Amino acid sequence: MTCKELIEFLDDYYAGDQPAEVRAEFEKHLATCSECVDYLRTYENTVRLAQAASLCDEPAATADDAPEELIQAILAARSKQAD
Amino acid sequence: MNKPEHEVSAAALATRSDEELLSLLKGNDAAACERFVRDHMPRALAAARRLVGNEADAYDATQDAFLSFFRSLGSFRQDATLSTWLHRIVINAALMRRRSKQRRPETAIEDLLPCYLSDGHRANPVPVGEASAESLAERREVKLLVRRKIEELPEEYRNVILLRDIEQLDTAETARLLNDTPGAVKTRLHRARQALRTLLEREDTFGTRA
Repeated sequence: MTCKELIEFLDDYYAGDQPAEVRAEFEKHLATCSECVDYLRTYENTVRLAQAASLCDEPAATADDAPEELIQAILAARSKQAD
Repeated sequence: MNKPEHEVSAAALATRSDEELLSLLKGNDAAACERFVRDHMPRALAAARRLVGNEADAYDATQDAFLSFFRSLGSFRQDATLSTWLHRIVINAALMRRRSKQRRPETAIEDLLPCYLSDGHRANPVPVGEASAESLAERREVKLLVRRKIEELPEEYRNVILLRDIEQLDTAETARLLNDTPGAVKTRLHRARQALRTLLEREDTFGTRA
């Protein structure tokens, strides 16, 4: 297996979606290729950083997070829409 | 003051099934519409905020989504819950709002994917440090950098990262929203992640091993 082949199917390896024998080939390559080990680690870090990178700093939605002015604007526009 | 007969109390609405609620909403029951907006606003607004990144656009996208939801009640096929359907509409509204805004220049995806030598080894690999994603994500400047770099991806690659990694939708749902096949979404996500990795590496995000 070459580095190119490993990287091209890295998403399956990362997701654990490969048959055992294919995964074994990946593991064999990683055992001897420090560059691919680095690539895998930075790929995993990239995914986790993206997952943590919600585009806002707002906390998770709470039942109180319903701005009254927005609700009223929607209801007013809906009323006009329904007329 | 007596409520009009056709309006249902909040307590009664809370116990209605989706089918019953749909019937009330289609019949323009004012109390049902208000209850629906109030109940679903937190989740809808949170999703819009995650995808558009500023409060004004999040409010606009959320309003657009609810109005679109009410307009299209007649075509709802009940292949999902009302809540899921609204969430899909919110995501579409947020993506459309993003598309309408002026974007910074995008880098072509081919320039961000790894290059290989004829023997299959990567060309110009850079040794990287040992920092974990957890320790990196705790630093606000890294989080802001990741957001900026996601914005530099071409739109079709940016959208798949937004939906799969930030919004945490599964491949099938992402494909449905992007009007694409699951296989294409999977391929595009992998390329998007590789491209984002390259952009972050160029900023020395992962550090350099001594």
